[in-house]
Amino acid sequence: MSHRHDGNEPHDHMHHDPKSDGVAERDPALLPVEENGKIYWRSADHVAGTSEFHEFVTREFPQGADELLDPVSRRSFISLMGASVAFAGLGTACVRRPVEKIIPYAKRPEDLLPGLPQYYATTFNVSGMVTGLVVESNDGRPTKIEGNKLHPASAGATGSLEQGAVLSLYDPDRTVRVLKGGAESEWPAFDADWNERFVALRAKGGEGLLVVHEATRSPAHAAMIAQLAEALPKATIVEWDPVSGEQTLAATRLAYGQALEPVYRLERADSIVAVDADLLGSSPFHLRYGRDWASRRHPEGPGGMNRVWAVEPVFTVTGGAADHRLRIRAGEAGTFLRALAAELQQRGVSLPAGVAAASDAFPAAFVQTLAKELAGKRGRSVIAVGTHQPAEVQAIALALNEALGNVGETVRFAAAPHAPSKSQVEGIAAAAKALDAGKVDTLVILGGNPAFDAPADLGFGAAMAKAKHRIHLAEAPNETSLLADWVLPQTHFLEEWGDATALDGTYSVVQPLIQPIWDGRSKVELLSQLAGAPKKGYEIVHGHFLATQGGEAEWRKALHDGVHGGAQLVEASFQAGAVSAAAAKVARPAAASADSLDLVFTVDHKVFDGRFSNNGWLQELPDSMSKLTWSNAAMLSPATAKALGLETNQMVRIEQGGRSLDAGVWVQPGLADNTVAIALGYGRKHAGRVGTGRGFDAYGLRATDSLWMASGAKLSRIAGTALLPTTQDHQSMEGRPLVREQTAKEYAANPTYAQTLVKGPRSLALWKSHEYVGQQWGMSIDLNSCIGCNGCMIACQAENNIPVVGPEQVRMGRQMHWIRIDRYFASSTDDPSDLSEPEVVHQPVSCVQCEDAPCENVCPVAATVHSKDGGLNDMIYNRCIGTRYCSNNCPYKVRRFNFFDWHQEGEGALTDVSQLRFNPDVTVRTRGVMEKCTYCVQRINVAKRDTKLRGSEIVPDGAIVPACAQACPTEAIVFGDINDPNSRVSKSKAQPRSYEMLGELGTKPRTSYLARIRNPNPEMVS
Amino acid sequence: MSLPNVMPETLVVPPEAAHEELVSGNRSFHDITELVSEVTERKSDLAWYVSLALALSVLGVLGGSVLYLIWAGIGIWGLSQPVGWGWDITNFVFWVGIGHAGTLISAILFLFRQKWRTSINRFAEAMTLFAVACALIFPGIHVGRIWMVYFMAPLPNQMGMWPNFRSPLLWDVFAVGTYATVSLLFWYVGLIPDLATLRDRATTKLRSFAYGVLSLGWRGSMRHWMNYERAYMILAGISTPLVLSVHTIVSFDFATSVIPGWHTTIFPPYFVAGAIFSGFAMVVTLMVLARQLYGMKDLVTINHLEKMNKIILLTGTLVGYAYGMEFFIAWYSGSEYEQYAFINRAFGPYAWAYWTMITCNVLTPQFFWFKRFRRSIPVMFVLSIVVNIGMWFERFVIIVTSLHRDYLPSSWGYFMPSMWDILIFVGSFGLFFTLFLLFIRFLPMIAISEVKGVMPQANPHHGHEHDVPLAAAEAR
Repeated sequence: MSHRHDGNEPHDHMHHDPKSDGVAERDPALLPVEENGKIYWRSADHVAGTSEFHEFVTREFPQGADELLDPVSRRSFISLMGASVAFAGLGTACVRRPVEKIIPYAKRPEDLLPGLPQYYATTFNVSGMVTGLVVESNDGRPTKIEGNKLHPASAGATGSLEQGAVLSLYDPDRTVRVLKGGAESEWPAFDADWNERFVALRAKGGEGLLVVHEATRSPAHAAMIAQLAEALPKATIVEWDPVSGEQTLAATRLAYGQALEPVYRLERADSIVAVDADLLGSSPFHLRYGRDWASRRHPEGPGGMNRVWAVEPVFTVTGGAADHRLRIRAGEAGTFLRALAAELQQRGVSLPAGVAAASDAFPAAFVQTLAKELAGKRGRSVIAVGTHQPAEVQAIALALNEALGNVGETVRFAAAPHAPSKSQVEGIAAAAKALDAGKVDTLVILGGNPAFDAPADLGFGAAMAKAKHRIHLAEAPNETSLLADWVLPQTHFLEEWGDATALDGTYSVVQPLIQPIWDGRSKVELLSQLAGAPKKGYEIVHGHFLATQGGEAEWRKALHDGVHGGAQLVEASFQAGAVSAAAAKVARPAAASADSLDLVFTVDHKVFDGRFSNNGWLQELPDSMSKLTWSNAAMLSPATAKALGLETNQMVRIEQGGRSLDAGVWVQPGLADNTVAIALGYGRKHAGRVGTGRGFDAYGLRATDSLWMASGAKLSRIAGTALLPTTQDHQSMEGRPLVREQTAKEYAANPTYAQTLVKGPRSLALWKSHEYVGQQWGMSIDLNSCIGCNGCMIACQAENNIPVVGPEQVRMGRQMHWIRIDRYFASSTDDPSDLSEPEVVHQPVSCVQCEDAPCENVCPVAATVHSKDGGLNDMIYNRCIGTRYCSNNCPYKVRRFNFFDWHQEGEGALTDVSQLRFNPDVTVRTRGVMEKCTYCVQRINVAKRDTKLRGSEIVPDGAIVPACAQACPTEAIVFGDINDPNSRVSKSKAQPRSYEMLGELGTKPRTSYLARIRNPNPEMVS
Repeated sequence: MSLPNVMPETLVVPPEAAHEELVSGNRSFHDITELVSEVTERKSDLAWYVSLALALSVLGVLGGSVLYLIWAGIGIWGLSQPVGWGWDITNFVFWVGIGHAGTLISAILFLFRQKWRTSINRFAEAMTLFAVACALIFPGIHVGRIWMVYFMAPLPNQMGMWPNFRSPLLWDVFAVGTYATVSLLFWYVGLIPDLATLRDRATTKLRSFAYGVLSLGWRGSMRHWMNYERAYMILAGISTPLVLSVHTIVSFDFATSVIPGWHTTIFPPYFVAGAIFSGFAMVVTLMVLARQLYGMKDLVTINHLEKMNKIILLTGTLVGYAYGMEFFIAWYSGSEYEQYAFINRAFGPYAWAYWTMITCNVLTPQFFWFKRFRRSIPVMFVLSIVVNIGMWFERFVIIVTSLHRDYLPSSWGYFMPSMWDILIFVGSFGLFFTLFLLFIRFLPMIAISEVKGVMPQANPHHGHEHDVPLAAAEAR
């Protein structure tokens, strides 16, 4: 079942014809599923024809999904015991090796060698985030996502959302079929229905039609919207996304008279000022920014180290990477920028009138030192403001960048042709009003979930019911789908044709990796249908490319490369007057107190706006700063929590603007005082088996006038405990030399300091050491560039078929991540327990592949042994009996045990569809088996095999890239041959700041770390 | 071989021992036989049936829990990352520890000619075997894939795979396996003359047959006695090092690891002392009950119990010394991880367990400095139970507090037992008591032949105290 994406065929060429399938005649169990006369796609695994599959498509939850650890299952166990079938049942309950049939191709698709993966370029395009990807496909199944090196937003890296997309593709809770009023239907029925409606709508010019779509950076999508507007001119078309960058567009409209996207060139910046801006964590260009920022973090590197000044209300990844961090209230960003402007002005920087306004709200030393530094680095700094900050505040930053000469140097602008002409909030508010007034005959919602995520004061869900016809195109049925009378299956981006432009305007193609599993249609396809001219996605995208981008040859190259044309940067002229007027309006907000808190909404790095709620990988991913999984929380700073008498896990009621929300408290160091921060996207009521009911629905507090922040929130303790699941209970390093750090100045004086932190001699080996000849693998992790973004964790999870365990199991400490990111807080003051102004360090830890491994000695059955070639600490899953002794004896605690069969029960339970995601090169572990990182040994073996086929014995440096290193945006992880002194890893390990964590135990870890070097402004230190 | 060489112990009574009555109540040989055999012959009273029913129900809990464990996976326990061992291995070490007293009493005291052992050795050995049986459950069921547990055995196989001989867990398999085998043999060999007595007294065909088979044709001939004594001596010799080796090797599970709190050279003697401590306490607990219920007060006298209490006091103090020394070494080592592990033990989240252990193991036995407490049945009964609670906590403290906070604070956690942890532990007592009740009912709980050997009548000079001793007369 593989296919080519050469563009010569429409995408439905992949429909399977059972009559021509030689297999089908032999084994009826392997026939494709035929439901309502419709042939469903099936994989090379030939699983779809089983009876379980039928049950799965008809039953909402699979058998046993909700029975793990449920008393009912114990009861059912007892009843089985009573029926004396327990012994007979043991054999079936503990199925460890399911029977699988392997069928050869009757006709092998061209270009496909069974067992060898294929790679296709495509693009992740979700809510304005565009990342170029290269996707690995095994026998027609997309299994692993990597970044596209040619794409500016990726540069070869991927974040957790991109990595998690594979799991969402095979989500069993997706819209499996067309639903009409909740009952099963099919496309022809909808087509007939729509044709009828279209005729009626067209007669009125489209009046009464309301189309709500998500923000997108797709030119083809924009073209189809335009086509729809042309066909039905009186139709209302509204863009709504709960997380949008429209304030940035508004700011550039203000400052430059046109909608622009600022693009920062961090590799050129000596000083980076991030004002409530998570450049490295959640900006649409965060992967690229991470790469560029990290390129200037080498103390010996050309141009010296950059310096990051983070000024923010919540602790972001950028704040964690910063050299200086100042906590401010969310509403004070503008005040801070004006105060900074005032200091800059004093140092001879000329600014538009009215921008500068001195303020005593911030530590004078911070603002003055920063201003002095910026004034001395004209054209070599970046001042960035979060895209959710008001346009006027962002405009001040633009003015500062202009004044410092950064624009054109470190700050560039890209055109934003996709920008909607009117504000999203106004649009959705008007739409809700029209709906409420009964003026909408037909409501079409393309993707998204406005009934859940529209501002609470609009009452969108209730208003929606007043439309006569409600059509929702949805990847998975959600809260909005429940209110729709037609729910249409939407394709996942891995199933559809599309296009996108990156933040800097680079064009890229979205090409399908797989036939739509559930016969969905893409948004552009449905848009074309709405406009009365239904077309296939390929025709739309290809046609649009030919019309706007280039010829057939360029198209083919674009399909191969994934990108076309490069950045589309523009010059723009600054309008000082408008900014002056706007800036003058930015005033300091009224004081907050424990009785009148600032309420701040944050974007979650995992479930995003809520759309990834049903993705177990992302749900189980610990938040970079709080290490919280499966939930959001009402975050409070330690001081505020103390003032309110609250502790982590206590339930509170947040009241603001007449709305209220009950949520669990999480005390988070680094948060601004008198602020309660809560992430959006949790508390889904209809997300599927994994995502429903996780966390607290912050949208319930969010109104049109308080999209990102509000003041005057009250917190009161209510009965109950939240039991928030976290992967790390202990925040302090306890003074142990685990993450070692220095300032740049200290490093210059004593570069080998990191190696001298261990007292006492190294323990001797109990046994004779192994011989290490030939190529020996090792890893070096640069803590100076690790920002704790979690990209590696999901990459590892996808590559190594790592299961999801669920929140209860996470609370017990049973998460399975092979690579984790330890996060420690340290006090920046003399009192180590004072976490009011914390510093944070991140340390990725996976198996360090000890040369004298404590785990190997203790395994009674030799299930973990040392490999001679490569020197890896191998894990033999089918030998492991699960004594857990190795894990106990692992000083790094990187081993993970399958306490249950995570693939069979609970949140990670497999279905016939979701198991298609597995990487065929990695064993799927069963219950009772220990597992851990092996440096992606499957990739090592592929590289060795390929090297051998080329007639060489030595795998060239860089030919093996473990999944974590491949995803890492900052290239913090370097892997290679440590016996080759010229390999990148050897050079990294040869650096003076290279050290071995717990090396004094005599474990001789193969993974070493590079000490973190902070680069504070020397004037701030004194 | 002449007679005196064959049965030296039973014939030569050292003068000081002669003064101490090992059997009170002026019993005759026949009385002894009656007293002990009769328990297995008479109709059992209701109390026994009730006890057995109770023990069997608890055993049922064990069976059911273990089945569910195998069915559902060891995730039903409270284990986690980083606490990979919790109650499972705690229970294992606890039961192995209890299983130390029997062989110690049988073998070492035998070799040291401690005659007072004769009244309690059978009992203690049985207890050893049953405790080891309980112990052996846990390494078996604690593994993730119990159906693959045979990988631990050095069986020839098509993979050419041996187990890993460097693993202390494998050493455990051999150490405990050897100990169980030798203890069983030792116990069985000691039983043979008494089984023959029961056979000879049998009134039913079944009893006659069963005891006949078990007594291996024992006729009490001189040759039999000669072989018997020699075998017993050899087994005692073999058993003696095992008493020390088993718990030494069990302690290697921890001592050879790199985990602070485990990685401690004091563990072997400390574990052995602790094992004897808990084993003796368990013998006292059971002995006090059995002698009361079965009227064996003349055979198991207060003198016996007092001697055992003295050993409890000694080993308890040794264990207390080890606790203190651990702290000293942690400080002396200069290793911050080691120091943290011990401070955390005493003042961290598991301080309650630590201080329970100290109270039970170090403070409580100090009552035995006083003779009246040593000789008070209620005091020793309560104290012996307290000691075993303390010893269970000792293993819990060592295993769990060391694991829950080791090197990387990011991975620290807290272990909470689940219902199944508790049920399986409680259930193991069901197995123990079931076996014990069956033993009491069907086998002579006191070594008839050996007790007779230490009775005054066994002394050739018995009844001739006023005369010139024979040996002295001959010498003259």
